[in-house]
Amino acid sequence: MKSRLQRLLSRRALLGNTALLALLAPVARQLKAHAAGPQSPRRVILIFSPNGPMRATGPASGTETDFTFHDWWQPLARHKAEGIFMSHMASTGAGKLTANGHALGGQTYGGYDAGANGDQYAQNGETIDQVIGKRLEQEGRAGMVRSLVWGNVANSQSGGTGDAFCASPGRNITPESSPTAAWAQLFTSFIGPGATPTESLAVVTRDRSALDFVIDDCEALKTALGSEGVALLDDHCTTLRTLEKNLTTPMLSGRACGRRTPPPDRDWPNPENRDLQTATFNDLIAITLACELSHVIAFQIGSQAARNKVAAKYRVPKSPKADSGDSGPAHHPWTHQPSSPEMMLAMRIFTTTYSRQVAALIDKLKSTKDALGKPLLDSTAVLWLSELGGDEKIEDPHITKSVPAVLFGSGQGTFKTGRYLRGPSESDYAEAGRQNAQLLVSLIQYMGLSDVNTVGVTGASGPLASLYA
Amino acid sequence: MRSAACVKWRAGRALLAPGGLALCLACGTNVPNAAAPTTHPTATVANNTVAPAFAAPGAPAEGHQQAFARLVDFSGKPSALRRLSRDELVATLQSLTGLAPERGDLPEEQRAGHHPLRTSGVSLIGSEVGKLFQVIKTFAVQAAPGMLTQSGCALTGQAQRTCLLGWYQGFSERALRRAQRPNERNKSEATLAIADGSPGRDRVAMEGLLIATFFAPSFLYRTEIGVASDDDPTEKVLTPTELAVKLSYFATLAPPDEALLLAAQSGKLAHGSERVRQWERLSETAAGKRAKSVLVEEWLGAAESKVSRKSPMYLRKLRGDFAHNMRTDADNFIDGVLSGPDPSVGHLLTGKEYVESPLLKQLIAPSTASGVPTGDVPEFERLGLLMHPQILSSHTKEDGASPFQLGYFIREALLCEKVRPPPGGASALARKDVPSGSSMRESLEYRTSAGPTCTKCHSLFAPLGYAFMAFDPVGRWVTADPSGKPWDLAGHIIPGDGSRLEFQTPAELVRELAASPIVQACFAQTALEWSLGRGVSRGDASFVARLDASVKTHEASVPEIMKTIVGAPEFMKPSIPNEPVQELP
Repeated sequence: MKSRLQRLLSRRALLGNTALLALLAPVARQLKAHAAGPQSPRRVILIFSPNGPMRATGPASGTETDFTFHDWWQPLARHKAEGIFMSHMASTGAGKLTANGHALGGQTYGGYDAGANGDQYAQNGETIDQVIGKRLEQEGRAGMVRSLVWGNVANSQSGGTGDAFCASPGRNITPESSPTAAWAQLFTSFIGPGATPTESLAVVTRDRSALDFVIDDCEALKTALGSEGVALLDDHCTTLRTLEKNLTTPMLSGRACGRRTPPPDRDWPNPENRDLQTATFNDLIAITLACELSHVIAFQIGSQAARNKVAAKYRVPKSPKADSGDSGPAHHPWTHQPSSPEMMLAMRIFTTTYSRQVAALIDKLKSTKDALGKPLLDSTAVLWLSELGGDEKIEDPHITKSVPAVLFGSGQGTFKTGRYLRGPSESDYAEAGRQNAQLLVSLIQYMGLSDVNTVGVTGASGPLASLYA
Repeated sequence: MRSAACVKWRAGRALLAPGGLALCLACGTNVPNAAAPTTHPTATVANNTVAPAFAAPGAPAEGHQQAFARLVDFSGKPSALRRLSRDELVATLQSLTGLAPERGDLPEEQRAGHHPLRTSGVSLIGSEVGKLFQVIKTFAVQAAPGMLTQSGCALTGQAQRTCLLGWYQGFSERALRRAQRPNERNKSEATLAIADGSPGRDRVAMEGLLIATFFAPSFLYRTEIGVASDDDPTEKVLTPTELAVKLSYFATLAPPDEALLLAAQSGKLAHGSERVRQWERLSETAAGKRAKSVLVEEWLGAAESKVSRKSPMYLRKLRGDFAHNMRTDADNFIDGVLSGPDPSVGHLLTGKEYVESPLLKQLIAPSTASGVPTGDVPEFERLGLLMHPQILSSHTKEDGASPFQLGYFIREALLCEKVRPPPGGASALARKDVPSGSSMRESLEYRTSAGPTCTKCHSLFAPLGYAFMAFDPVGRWVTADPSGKPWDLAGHIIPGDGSRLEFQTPAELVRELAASPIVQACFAQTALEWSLGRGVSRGDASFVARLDASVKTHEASVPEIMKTIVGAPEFMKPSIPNEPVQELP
């Protein structure tokens, strides 16, 4: 007869307990996080950068705890302790989905295949910002707006929708590229620094009565159309109710949420204003999170295959005409050029620019306090994924392996930061694509959707275990 | 009798259209000489399975019929709900208030493929709703003073509120295209309670009414729900108001005026001749002319300007308002053709009236502004919309020649023949060791000759595009091939009916296309799709056949095509197809 100890250590018991632990791991993480007292709401920022570094494998190399940054990602180095830096990943669902190149890379945050409506670049399902935002809204945890999509729309290719975030099959989301307009859409109750309280009240009353009319109309139209109406208008009507709620919910007090002057409008698509646009959006992101206007922000630095440019001062050389038909000092045409000093210079400038932008955002999240007086970064997970990858030895403008991934924020102790993780794309492309999908699951579960174990049709199951403390 | 052509396609299905012409919807092998169908034609498809065909009972068995069973592709399933397009929103707001927001400020519609915008079954997503709220509020602030004046309610206190309430009932019924609901009067009263006779508060109250109206889903969408027909309870017909709305938006992109509403309410619109008469009346208005231009530009995929996306070198020496003027120039040409003695599809494709315009003079004069010699030389003949910069620039790349994009567009938009997108990794198949000294065409043909995977598809559209190879991205004619060899622009294609289109120059190609029954019928199909807000389906077969007959009888007159659509009994029905819509694989 086995002793109690022998029974506990039996293979069956050990296997069973291991499985149980894995199943309960998300719950355990939540409990651990909650044990520390009042908690800030969890937030997530998803950043998509277009094209890819092409000729560099980044963002870092070395061992898990002793690593150095590739020169092109050097701006991130000052946030080494707060990040998990992953190299040799692959586009989400690589090896499983049928799409490739830009079509695969473009739905990095979706995990569905591409090709909706016969458009090879249109995504076949919603991206995780939508998944998270809708659930938070259903559960009353969404803030004033369930999710936001900001960033740059640049022409990608004729016939392609090109944007990286998607609301439903074939309905890619056009990001708001003007910080001025984004501000106006958020701070609907703010009339302006010069308005009297009476005028402010009149405008709020105006909007409230208008929305009351509109919401009733939406419900009546939905009813008139039956099940078809529900399918078509549910999102529309829900958004209207959110807009109405935003009018009546007082904004959080606190320095970050005080009345602010809207950013003056500019020619935001002009590359000369790109740095200012980035900085203004970083400010807006911080205010949005601090004031709990939303807990989910998706930011698109550029669309799929973007021909995005930066200010002339960065001296990006002019690419010759690529076989894709574009040219000039833009990211995409250079990706189609053979390796050369100029090509490397261009790729370096773009990659460093994106790194600088992300690093500046982390600075902002560190320095901005939320309603509990804690730095936003404490409770915000920031994921930066690139559309495509990079390898010094591979001249492929559509490389979907060796994709860099960067996660910032410990998530109130959820993630073990200050580490470098090397992915398996060199030896097992499909496994790297699966791990990228698991990375997305980790973010989804971080936001409290512990029942969600996969994304899209990647078949990946569970979060990425290597991220956790 | 046309021979039936059947091709394999990815899903292993094929369609046969009335008269025996099958359109194949993937790049595959055209298999001509299949037997012409009789009453219930069938098609042999891949794997030798037999699929039901696109049969049209009562369709003309010979003559001019074409098979334009272009399969449907949607952003969503077709529905009784149709989202107003940006053009429709602008036209509607203009008709109601005399003002309109900038089209570019409104949420942009999603587009895919070379067909007109689909609006049926497309709703606004959350981010679009949020953006639209801001645009509508800004617009309401702008429009409110004028609407206050228009209301004639220059009173104070309750008298003014009562006056505005009465005015608003009529205004909202026109704007929302339905009667006011019982509780809406109370809601309007609540909004008007803001007004107190002071200019500021009165203005805010009017803003509230306008925001409520223009942000209401009843305003942002059209509905075609219908009611049971008296003749056949299983069929639906549009209500008089829905019919007036459908006709008005088709004719003017805007809601019905008083005269049309009266005709609807009196039952006159139930007669095709009255609907045609009303369409003729409305089409002569400024809004009607604009609507016709929009339809033509939707047909040619030129509804959105892409000039600003071209490499800067192509925009050198062009005036700053070039993009705006290009659209206006195209609109003027279209209007001139459609108002003139020959308002045909052929004239749109071959007319030269625009060539003398100031805009074109910037492009046709000899120049080296873009880095290579350009200019219309005597041996080059520029004619028709396909050579207008508004249309060309909608289909060219940012830099260099764009034969494949242009050829692909022509095959799909003018011949109504779908070309499957390239398979994944297609560009990697391109041959790289191009012989030195090759002309541009020789180089492209070499690169795309790696095997049947490439040549099968490219043969469908490349010859069409090579004819346009000498155009730069904004529509200038490049006078010489980069190799120094003469341009080789000649070619031929075999459209789906088995005929042969052969040409030596782009002008010859354009004339062939203009004279082609397929192209003329394709335009008619496009106009029908535009009226329906969706692609055509099998259930539209008899309507399509009737349109085809009209095309032949009236020599592809655009107004006659539109009158045929409006006058048809099907126009009185909701646009939802009677059977499940077949979506592209």
